[in-house]
Amino acid sequence: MRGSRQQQITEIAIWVAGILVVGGAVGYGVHHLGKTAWFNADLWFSAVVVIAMAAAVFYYIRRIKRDPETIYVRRIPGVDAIEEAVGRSTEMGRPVLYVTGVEETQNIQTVASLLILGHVAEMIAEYDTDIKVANAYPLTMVLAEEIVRQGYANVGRSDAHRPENVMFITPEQFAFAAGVNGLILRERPATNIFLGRFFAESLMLAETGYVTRAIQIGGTAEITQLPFFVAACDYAILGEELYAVSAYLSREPQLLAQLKSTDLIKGLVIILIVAGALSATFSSLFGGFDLAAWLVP
Amino acid sequence: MVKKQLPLLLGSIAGILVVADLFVPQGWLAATSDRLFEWGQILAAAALVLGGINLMQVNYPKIRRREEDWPYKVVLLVSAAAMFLVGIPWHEIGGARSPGEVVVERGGAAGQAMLRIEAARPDAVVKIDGGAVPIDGKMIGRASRDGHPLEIALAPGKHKVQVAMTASGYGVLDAEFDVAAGQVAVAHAALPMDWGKEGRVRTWAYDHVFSPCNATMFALLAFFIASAAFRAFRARNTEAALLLGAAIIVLLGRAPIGTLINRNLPDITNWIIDWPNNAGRRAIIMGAALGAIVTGLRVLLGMERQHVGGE
Repeated sequence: MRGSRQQQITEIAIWVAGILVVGGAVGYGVHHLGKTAWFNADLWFSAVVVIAMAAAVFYYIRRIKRDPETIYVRRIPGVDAIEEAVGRSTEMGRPVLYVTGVEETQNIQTVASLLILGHVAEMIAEYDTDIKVANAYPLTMVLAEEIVRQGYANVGRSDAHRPENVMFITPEQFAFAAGVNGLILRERPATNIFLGRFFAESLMLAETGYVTRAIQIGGTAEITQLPFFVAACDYAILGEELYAVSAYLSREPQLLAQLKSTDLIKGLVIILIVAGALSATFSSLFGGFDLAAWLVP
Repeated sequence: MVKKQLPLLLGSIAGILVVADLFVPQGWLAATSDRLFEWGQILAAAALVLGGINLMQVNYPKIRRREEDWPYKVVLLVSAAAMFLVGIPWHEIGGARSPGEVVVERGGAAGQAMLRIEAARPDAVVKIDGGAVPIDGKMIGRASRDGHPLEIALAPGKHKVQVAMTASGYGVLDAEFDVAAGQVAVAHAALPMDWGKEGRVRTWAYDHVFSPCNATMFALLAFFIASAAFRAFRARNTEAALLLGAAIIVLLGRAPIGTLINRNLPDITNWIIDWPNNAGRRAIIMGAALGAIVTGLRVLLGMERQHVGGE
């Protein structure tokens, strides 16, 4: 077992209690002092969450650096499958298709997808296979091209990079779907990786990929599209997993700390949900303090 | 070193300023944040040029080498070039053209004021005083009837006339005039055809070529859903069987036949959607929101370096 389990639980409990106490004190103070020119008091709880997450990230970075064995990251089959799928593409002599979603670079899911693309590009370069990257926006294409170029450079294969493999298709949703479907049917990629924000075109892409018998890995945090990826892809990366992939692939302490901090805040959220439900119930029965109304005015 | 550290530093500063703007209600911060967003838009516009170049780089060599399906790429490039050309507001070059004017002349029946429409395009439509003066009993009338210009009697005084095409992409004559008894107001409606984003050719191509293609793609979704559902709803294990069961109940509960089979089916459907489904959705949304915050933080704090080439 990694480290002392009891010590870990104690440390986490101290942090949870500390965040609750400090956050509560800050929130209470700001809420009751009213709006100041330097802080939007209506957003005090959001600020506490962001600060708590940043604190948790720094705490876990320190802990992981001190004792790397303490961290346990559960396996994500969809991510493990990426390397296997890239290997399959190499064996079949067919390219890997990577789609960065249909949103602009301002969208955090597109950012997450581009971060993962860096790791995938390194893998592709190592395996000496080909990658086709389809982008819906020119700015995403420019970033993707640079990321893929760096990925190849990182493994000393700059010569193998072909800029024309990173493509701008179109920002129009169904025209993009038609373009990528055409690409799938013509190029017959052995692996299709759809990571980012998708809408109705998700199923069109994944079903076309199914027809070509490609291994498909689909991931999005867009809740309405998750069922489509689950139904049509071989591996689905669900919701928050999309944001964890880059950390999972890099295995860097700084990034793995992110996963642990998310878990810690999830624990806090669970406590708040239970406390909020109890508070709302008692408040409606007997009147008085309502935690939810206090947290989010 | 500078190649990686400088973009990280600039990204962190810009990101922290924009996030701070959310929490700190200071005017200078809001102005800085707006300015950063403007710069972002300029960068996106510059990237559009690179997108166009990429389109050429990817497709032209395939046409030259006569690769598989090369004629489609010709269609793509020609269409893109055509839409680019018709998207330029040519009509604004050398000054904006007038959509026409209203000239008041002597004439018409004695003691009566008249309005005559002389439209360059006979299928233009006319609205007088916002529809307050009816044309053949209707709010809107045609500018021409049986090849003759529309003539209508008006009460002396100030009036407003609008002459426009029903299709978009043409100039609109929208003018006020003052006509007295024994005078006729002649509306010379040139209604010139516009170019550019809202121009006639571009809107026609969009409405008559692009939109039907778009609708066709969207319509295909029904078949994709049927095909995916057929595979997904196979009871291979307990979870899949539960999924199948829930799907059948929801499907029947949402269809009129569901009530005929069992009148409680819509209530069961609503329960599945409102409780177990909603709980699952919220859990995923919450996890994704936290993941998004941390991803943003690690990019802002420079921990994530993959976008600048990793370590």
